[in-house]
Amino acid sequence: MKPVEILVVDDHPLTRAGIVLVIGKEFPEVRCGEASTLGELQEMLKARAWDFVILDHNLSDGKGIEHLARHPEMPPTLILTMYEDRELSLQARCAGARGFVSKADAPHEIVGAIRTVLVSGVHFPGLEAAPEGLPLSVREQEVLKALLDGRRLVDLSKDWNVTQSTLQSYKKRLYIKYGVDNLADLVRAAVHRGVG
Amino acid sequence: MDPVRFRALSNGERMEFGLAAPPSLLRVVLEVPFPGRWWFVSELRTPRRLEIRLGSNVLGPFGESRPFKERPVATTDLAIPLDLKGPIDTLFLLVEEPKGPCVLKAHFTPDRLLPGEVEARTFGNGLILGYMLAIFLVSGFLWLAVREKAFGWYVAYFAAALAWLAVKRGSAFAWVWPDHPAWNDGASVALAYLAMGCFALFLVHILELPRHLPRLARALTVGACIEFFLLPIAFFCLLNFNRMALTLVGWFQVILPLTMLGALLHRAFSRDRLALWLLIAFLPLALGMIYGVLVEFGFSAAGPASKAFVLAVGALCENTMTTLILIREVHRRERARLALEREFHAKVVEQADGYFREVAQELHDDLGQRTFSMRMQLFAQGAALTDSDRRLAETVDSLHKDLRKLSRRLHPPQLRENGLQDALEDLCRGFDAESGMQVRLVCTPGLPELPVAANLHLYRIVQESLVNAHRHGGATEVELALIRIPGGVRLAVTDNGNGFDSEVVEGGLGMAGMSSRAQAMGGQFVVRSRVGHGTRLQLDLPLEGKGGYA
Repeated sequence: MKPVEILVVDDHPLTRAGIVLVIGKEFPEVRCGEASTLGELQEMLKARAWDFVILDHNLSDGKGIEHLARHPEMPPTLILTMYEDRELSLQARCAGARGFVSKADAPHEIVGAIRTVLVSGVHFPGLEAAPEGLPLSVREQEVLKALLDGRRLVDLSKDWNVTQSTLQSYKKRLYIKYGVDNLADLVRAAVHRGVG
Repeated sequence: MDPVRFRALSNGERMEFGLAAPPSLLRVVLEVPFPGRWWFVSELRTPRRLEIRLGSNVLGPFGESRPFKERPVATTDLAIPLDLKGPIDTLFLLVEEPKGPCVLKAHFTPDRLLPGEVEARTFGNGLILGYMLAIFLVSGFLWLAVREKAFGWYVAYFAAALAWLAVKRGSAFAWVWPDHPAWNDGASVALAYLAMGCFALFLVHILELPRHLPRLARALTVGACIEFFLLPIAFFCLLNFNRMALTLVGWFQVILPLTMLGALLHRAFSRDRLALWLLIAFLPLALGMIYGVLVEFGFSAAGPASKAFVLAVGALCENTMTTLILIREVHRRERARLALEREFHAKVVEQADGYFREVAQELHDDLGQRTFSMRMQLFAQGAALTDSDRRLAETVDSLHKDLRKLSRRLHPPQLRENGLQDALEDLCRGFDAESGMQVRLVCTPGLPELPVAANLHLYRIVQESLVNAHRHGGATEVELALIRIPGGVRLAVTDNGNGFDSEVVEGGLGMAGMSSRAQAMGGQFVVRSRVGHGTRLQLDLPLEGKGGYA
């Protein structure tokens, strides 16, 4: 049986070494490859097929999650990053990642996350309850209330002295948090569930 | 001193009016023959003493009251109101004039100069003095406000000019300055040139001439300034000597006005708006001077009295305009200074934030990664770990956590991505959990988006104030308000801690940092606290209008 092959992408050699070491110890049937940049990752993906990618977010030549969003053809990916940000975790999920784990988490949790994703599960701690469970930030609540009042983003941006693109990103986050993809559904969901 | 001339005139020679009805006024004209028209030092040519007798009526002496002081260059004339009953047979005039020959003419005229006119003149003098005094006070306040050399010289100029006025118009201001003709003449000249010298130095400083002028002109200006301070001394020395020498010294005085004018023109042509304005302020005085010269050459029939009047009005206009220009200049400089200060604070704070960000990045990316690697390696040992290894692993774990915490505190990563309100919310929550201090955040809906730098400043101020409230104030509850006010936003942090006496305590480095940040944004930062009554910290940040930050 062909061994499972994991590509570890991180720009810090010590970190890569640490991950590879742990994987080698915990999953003897797994073979690891290493890449330090997104460019290298792309090359290695082109050269041969990989079963699984462990991807850092903050890389020298770009952001891992954004790269993932642009390349939906990538193998199942676990985002492993220094940040423990729910927003980032949410973004990772939207970008098509299979899991999100912070380097601050305990090593056994990280190993657990790798294991979950390897058996084609998903690992998003804090997001298990689906995005609908996430609390809205102050600004998101404001935007949502204004949208429920039937106001347009153009008018809001004038009234609040905020750029439209900023408001757009708030709207997108609202879509994610309510699990919808259009305004009508958002309004329906918000009315159904209440604001906040 | 012996009288130079002692001459008695019979009234028959000069009588132009019949004396059937006794005249009400005697006009005595004293003429001094001059070397020529280019005689400058008129101040020195008044007689020391004049005694007039009409028959047996003694009308003088006039030397002590000096009514002829205000007369123009060529003549000293005197109008004496008469209260005569009978005809006059003789007119007796006596003059003490120490510096050379003079001619006395006298005639009776109908009422041309009434006694009331003399009072009006005194009143006018008082008015002028009062006005000058007012401008002097204004310029004094200017100097106090700015503390610049130029303004100091301007005040000195006014002081000298005021003293000059008081001395020169001695008869009118005997209550200010004892009217002592023996040396008041010299004193008035000295003060006049002192005033001019001060004004020249004022121009030199306000226009920053040493920096702008070529070397020759600079030397000339400095030389002329020295000359003007030496001149009064020269006058004192020459006062009782040679008239020709005095005339030469008098001519010398043209140098400074010319260099001053040259400097002003030079600056004005180099588009120095201040010099241009000062030149414009000089126009009324220049017009008065031109008019004076015209009168001197006999171009105008208006007479010497109106010449003095025109000059006085011109000088007052000049002084008023100059003072107004200076007030404007002070405003301009103050604005420029504030802008510079703000920029400076912004730079300092920005740099500090830059360092923080770098350090945070380094901690997070490099040290964080390395500790992560250590943890992974320790973990990979699995069951092979000894007890001491396990303790080591725990230490590494806590080290890793602390590093992350420190890095987040140094630079909040979510500020740029999620905006100020969310970052503050996060901060409050974190603080809540860590310190047990209740932090409540109140935001008005629809707050305008702030510039990135402002977000960071506000975040840091909140961070610092929360730390202060917890560490120094021992507060258990803090309310954090970010609200909209007309034309801007207000950040208010109120705690229920011990407080301190904000009148007495200056506040430490943290307070200085907050205030620096406030200044960098052009905001108004106020801290109010009383012992036992908590602390309130308020920052008003203008977003619209002239001082607006956005």
